[in-house]
Amino acid sequence: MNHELLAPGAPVAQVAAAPSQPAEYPIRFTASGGEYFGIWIVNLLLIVLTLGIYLPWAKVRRLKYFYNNTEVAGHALDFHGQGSRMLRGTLIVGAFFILYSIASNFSPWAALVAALAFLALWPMLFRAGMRFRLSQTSWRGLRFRFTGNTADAYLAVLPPLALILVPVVLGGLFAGTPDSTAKIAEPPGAVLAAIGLSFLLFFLGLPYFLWRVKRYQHNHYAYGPLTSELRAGAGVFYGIFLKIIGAALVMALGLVLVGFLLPQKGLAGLGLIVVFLAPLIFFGFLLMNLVAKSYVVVRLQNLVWTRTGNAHFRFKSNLRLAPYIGLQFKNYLLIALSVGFYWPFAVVATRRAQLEAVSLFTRIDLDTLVDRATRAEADATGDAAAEVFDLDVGI
Amino acid sequence: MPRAMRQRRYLIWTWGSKVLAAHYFDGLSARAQHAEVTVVGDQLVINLPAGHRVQVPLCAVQWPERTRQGRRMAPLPGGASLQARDVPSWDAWVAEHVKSDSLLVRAQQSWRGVAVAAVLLVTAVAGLYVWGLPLAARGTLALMPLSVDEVIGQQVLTSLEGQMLHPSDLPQADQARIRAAFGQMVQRAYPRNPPAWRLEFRRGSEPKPRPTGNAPPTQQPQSSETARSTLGANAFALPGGTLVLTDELVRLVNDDQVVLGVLGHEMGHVRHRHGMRQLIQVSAIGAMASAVFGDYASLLATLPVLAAGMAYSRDAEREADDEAIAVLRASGISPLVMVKLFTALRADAQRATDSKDARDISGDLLGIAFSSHPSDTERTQRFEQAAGARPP
Repeated sequence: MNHELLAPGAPVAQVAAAPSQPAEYPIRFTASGGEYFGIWIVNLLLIVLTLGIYLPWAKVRRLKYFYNNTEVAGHALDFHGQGSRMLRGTLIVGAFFILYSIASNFSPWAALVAALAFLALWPMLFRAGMRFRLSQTSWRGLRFRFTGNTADAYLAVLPPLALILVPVVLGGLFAGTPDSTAKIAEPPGAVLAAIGLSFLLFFLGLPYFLWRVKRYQHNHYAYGPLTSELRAGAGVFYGIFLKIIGAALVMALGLVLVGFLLPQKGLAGLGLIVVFLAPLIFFGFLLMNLVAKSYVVVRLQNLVWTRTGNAHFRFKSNLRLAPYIGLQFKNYLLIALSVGFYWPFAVVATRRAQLEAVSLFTRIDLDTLVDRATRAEADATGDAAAEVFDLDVGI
Repeated sequence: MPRAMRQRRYLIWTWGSKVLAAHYFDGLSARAQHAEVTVVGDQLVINLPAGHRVQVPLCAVQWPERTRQGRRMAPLPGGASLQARDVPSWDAWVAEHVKSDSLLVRAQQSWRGVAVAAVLLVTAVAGLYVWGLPLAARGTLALMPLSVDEVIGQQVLTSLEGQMLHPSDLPQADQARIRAAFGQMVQRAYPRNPPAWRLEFRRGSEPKPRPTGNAPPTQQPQSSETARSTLGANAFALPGGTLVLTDELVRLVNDDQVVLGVLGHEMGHVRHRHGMRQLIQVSAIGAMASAVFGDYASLLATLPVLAAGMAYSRDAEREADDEAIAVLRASGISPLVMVKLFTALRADAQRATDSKDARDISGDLLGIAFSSHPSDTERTQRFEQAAGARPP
């Protein structure tokens, strides 16, 4: 048996004798909302009773349930993280957050320092989170790995963060010098221009930045001797965002039109506007939120996963938009009607739709895959950081 | 691996325990090996093809939780793992030879357990909300030096200056008189250790534009309506002991004793550090809401947070009213002066809205549920009761 290290992306002959036809393995997700409801309730109860200390153990139990119910080629994933080890990371990140929220109330300078510290640390934490999550995930007895390095993490994540933080920094500089004359000094034009420019660059560059982050992630997933690649350029990401903007414009135009039409039906005045327009705006907002979010989720998943693979394997994602939007409608509605208790059902249903849309295609005999012998232990701080900052690093 | 390979082989008896058929992964290769697993003493013995055998102490195996759905995987020391071929056989075998379900697993597997957990959860959350969080906020504040309050209070005042607050045009003599009277009242109410306070007078609305030659001729003089839409007759306390009183309030009530009552109320906010408590409590609720509902809640979770914050705020107002009563009594002033305040405010509001019932209706319908203050009726009654004079 060949136990020596194989370079990522090793040629086919070295990996295995390739079968002629690629085999298709659709992902199966066997979790049920009812069962997750029980796990969720018990987790929440323990989190409340322990005043939050149970949080990492709850996370382990949740992830184990979801992983053990995610089957690829007849074998499920497993999560190996341990609550006791993840507690440290949770505490560090929690302490940082409490300090930050107090500091930002305290003085803009403290908030500024915290924001800069965040900027400097975040790409590192992001990479640590990826490494931790993947190194604690196994399939067929082998652990996954994340092979991205720190420098690339900074290159991928730092530019958008820096652009977003420019206004914070400049705003902090101006709020930091309180005028005793009871009038807040108007920032000079150059500063306003810099703020405007950084916002503009951020929004113009958003698809590109997203592509950089996705590329950083999807180019560095490793399993045994295989490393994945993202075979998509930034252009497709721009396509998705342009469609979103177009749809938003159409919807906004529709709202404006309705707003123009309403008062003409007799000048009933304020009452009519409140009665008709307020719910309309509310539902318009909900619709934008729900439809736009669904659109981005669906298109991005299909794009990113269908273009992920290498010479030996690839994924194919075929998540359909209309049923997904319908599902999200149902989820929102039932969560609202059940005062939140439908939440675990909604999560399982969404996860099922997302996972079962994906198939793995491979030309390799999976039995012949052999792990690289080294297994570096990743830091659990990154995992907690990823969770707190609401960053989806799940696969 | 195809399902056809599932076999119920665990019924074969050997010299140890029943045999469980499972997949064995060595942690180095993705190849599943057929394994027959038995328990001998405190060891787990795994028999592999070609006579290979792996032996592991039972206590070193991380047995997975039993769930209705999903596969079973048990990591072994050193990176190897066992995986179930047939989940029901695995569960039966583990229950018989290794361990029974933990309390947690039994609770989340039965509807009764889940129902009990749900009831306990709701109770615990309610308890946390009613007692736990306010207590925790008090505890946190006890550790936080008062200088933090002062810095935050100063920050808030600076940010309001020029936006909602404008320099006072109340005569200096009036300001000095109120300040002195309040100073005496504080001395009488807290003879031991009088709390630090600072009284600021401000206009709550834009000063009317003075007719000057530079003024553009088209500019209309501000109507009283737009001036009212700002702070107007008001008083508030900032963390750290700064009390802000608007000229409009002083002129509206036109009675020093009522002003003192209002200041006593604001002093209550300062002494109980309500502003800081509110800050801590609301941010804690926000954090908890986002912990419970990660995905969907961004929209749905803001409402409960808002409502919860307002309920805390109503409690704080009641506490501050009690303080006003105590402070007034210490100076021998009847709490009834506060009733005058509400009468004056209501008259003022009616004059402004030009509609008789608007404020009463909104006060009664929305007052308790969606307001940061208790209803005027409730507060008036409180002061009347304190004065020992029930309304007829």
